[in-house]
Amino acid sequence: MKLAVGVAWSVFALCCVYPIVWMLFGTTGSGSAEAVARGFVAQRQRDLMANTIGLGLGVTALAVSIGVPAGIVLARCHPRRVKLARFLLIVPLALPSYVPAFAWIVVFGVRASWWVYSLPAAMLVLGFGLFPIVMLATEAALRRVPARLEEAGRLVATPIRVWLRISLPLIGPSLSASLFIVFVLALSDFAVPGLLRVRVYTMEVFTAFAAIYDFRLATLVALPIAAIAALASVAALVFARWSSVGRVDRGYSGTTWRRRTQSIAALAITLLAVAAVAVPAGAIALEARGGQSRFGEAVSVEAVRNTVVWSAAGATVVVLLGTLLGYWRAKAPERPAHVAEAVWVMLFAVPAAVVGVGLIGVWNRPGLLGDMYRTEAVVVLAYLARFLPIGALLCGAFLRRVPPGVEEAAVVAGASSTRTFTHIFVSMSRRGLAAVWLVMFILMCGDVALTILVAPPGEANLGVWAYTLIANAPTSEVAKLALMQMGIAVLPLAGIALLARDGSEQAW
Amino acid sequence: MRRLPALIAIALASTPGCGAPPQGERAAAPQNVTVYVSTDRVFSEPILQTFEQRTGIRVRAVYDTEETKSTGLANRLLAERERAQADVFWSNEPVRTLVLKDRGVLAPYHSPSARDIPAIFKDPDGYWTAFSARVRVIAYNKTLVQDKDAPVSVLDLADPKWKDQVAIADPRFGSTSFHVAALYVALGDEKADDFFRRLKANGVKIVAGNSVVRDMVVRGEARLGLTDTDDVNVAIENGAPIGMVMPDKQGMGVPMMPNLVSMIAGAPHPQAARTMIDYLLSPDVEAMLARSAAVQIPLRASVPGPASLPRIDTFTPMTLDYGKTAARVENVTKRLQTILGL
Repeated sequence: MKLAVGVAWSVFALCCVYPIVWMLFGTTGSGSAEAVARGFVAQRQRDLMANTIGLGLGVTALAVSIGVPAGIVLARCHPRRVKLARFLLIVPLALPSYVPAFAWIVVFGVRASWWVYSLPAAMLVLGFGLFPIVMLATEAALRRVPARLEEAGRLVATPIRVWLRISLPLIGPSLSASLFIVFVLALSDFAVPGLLRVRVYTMEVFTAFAAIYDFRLATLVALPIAAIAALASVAALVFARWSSVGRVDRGYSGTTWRRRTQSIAALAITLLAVAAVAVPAGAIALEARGGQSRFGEAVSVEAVRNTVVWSAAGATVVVLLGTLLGYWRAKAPERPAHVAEAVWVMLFAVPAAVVGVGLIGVWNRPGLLGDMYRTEAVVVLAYLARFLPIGALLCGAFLRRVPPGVEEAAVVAGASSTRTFTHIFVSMSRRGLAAVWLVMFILMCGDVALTILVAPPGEANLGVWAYTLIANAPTSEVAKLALMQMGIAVLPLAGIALLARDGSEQAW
Repeated sequence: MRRLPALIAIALASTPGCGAPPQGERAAAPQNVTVYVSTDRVFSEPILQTFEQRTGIRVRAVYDTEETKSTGLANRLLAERERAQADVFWSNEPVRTLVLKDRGVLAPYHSPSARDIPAIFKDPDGYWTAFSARVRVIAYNKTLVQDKDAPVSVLDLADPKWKDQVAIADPRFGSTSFHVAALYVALGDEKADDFFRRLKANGVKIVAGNSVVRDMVVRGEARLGLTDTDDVNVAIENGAPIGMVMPDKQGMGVPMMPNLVSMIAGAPHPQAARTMIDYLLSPDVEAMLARSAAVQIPLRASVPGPASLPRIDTFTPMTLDYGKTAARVENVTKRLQTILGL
């Protein structure tokens, strides 16, 4: 096991850390830490950072307001009743963020009111796209809360008190992790703020790249974002610790509502889910009716194949390595474990462009690395560099739920560390790890910023393919492409939903 | 668990294309050319497909756009400088090419196809050659602005009568960055600063890209917008209520944005790269771009231009020293961040 974990850390260092180090110390540029610090004192940069933090907090608040109630309904109903609703509610997560932003502009843009292009609008659009993360985390955690605990609580307390004192603390670690991910994703996005004309700090990174062509400056400018993400992770940790009242053992099934309540709740959430997807899709479809169908025939089978294969390979490798790193995290002493988590968090907050350019610098060189750079494997490496930190964090969260007593019993019975890992940790966390795989797959499917930098010439995923086509297309054609992208993003989800049986649905 | 490292290696190696011998591929398949293209794919892809049909050389293209959503091909080329992967860079505006020349990414090549292209559009050292140009135009919504009332100069956009009715793309990026740098060169810093201050006071809307400007004008969110000919023409062909004016025909001249093509230093396929550059600089390609929805104006007066736009010898282009203008971009970017509050 030590060797396997050592290999995982080595891959992590090579793929995730080395590119950032190369960007800071291996490139030439005018940027210096002092210059960035000086700039940070300026009102302009403070305003940008305030907007960015405001956006992150607003999106997180919105994701909680939608995601937690939705997650509660999904968890309290029989999986079969809410299958359609769950499927539809995950769709926004699978879409590149420009699609809901485009729908927003199509629906409200012509009114040209101040709120159409504003910080609250960006919060709404991003919150709508990211709330499924909170929803899935809430549902998954609630399904593991033993029904007996809540039932016992209800004997002496009101439902609200039971929720606040029993359910919420038990799902606290999962909830705080999901909130943190939403916050960081909102923090590092600039596609939606750009379209909705909101000035955010991430534009500074983009400016350093695209206007000044200064790699070192771009990386230095990204560090405050990483620092804020690290602070957010501390907040998430504090919340998780405050709320955690103990481990939730596997094997329990959560509370479900009475049948009548389930029926009403399932109907309500299904209607809500249909509306949530149908309204933007309908608006885009209406827009797509006009114009010549110049791109109608342009569905690229190759791009669809690349999207599925690259994302599946990337998610698989991330979960494999993330499981090993997460296992280390579960077994490590508290202090190094927290340091590792802080590093993972900071790396995840580094904008994709910094990761991508650093990756090129590190991998595009003579020898084995350079040979890999010219192949599609570099896309998988890029996904590894971008998503392994968060993958390790999530896998670690699931692996840590394994009760220590089970592992101790296995060791006493003479099981080797490898056998304990595979038969206890991985086996007992397999549903959680499957959920991590799905989240990684979805995030990779929607990636444009990283893929466009490293995909081999002549190759593209669906996001890049659509993005390079829409630049000069009329709105009606952009709408057609957005519809196509919605359809194709939904396909893997539909496949997974179809494959899921009642038992395996618990994996959500 | 002992098998885990092997499994990871297999997972990586099983990725399509991984493990292929690129060096061998280079030797075995010399009839490839890798081109990085920032000209919009809808316009550039047909040109490259024709090249493939005519020469049998397989084109492997990497596309991008100037929209503010990616950091662009220039950064990829800079990062790949030590070990070039691209053979040719086809840029839709001059700034990026000039930055790349400055950073040693480009190699000189004097194409025989460029003999009849005016000298102003060629780098004396051969690092780049221009062909077919877009024009920066003032787009206007035809239902909200009558043809006779449309502004005739970029400077008119600061007129209070257009308050809150003008949209421009973020001037730090893409062709707009070159246009604003050109304005600073043409007007001088003091006058240019004053113009942008007045523009800001006039409530100019700064958006993500030129196509967004066009869409806003079409929807009536802005009555006027500063954008490129190809953006507007696509909307006109689609029946949108939009018109365009070539600004500053009188005075400082019409701002033109030519394509630039360059060979990459250390290009893996230098011969194919030269063939590609010769092709792109041919009159045929200028004619194709003129006939396409991009309505690009040929730099050769002898090549028929788009029906909807005047020929290059019938108006005065903005006289520019491209190198000098590109050198101003960084400084102008910093000035405008303050003036426009970007």
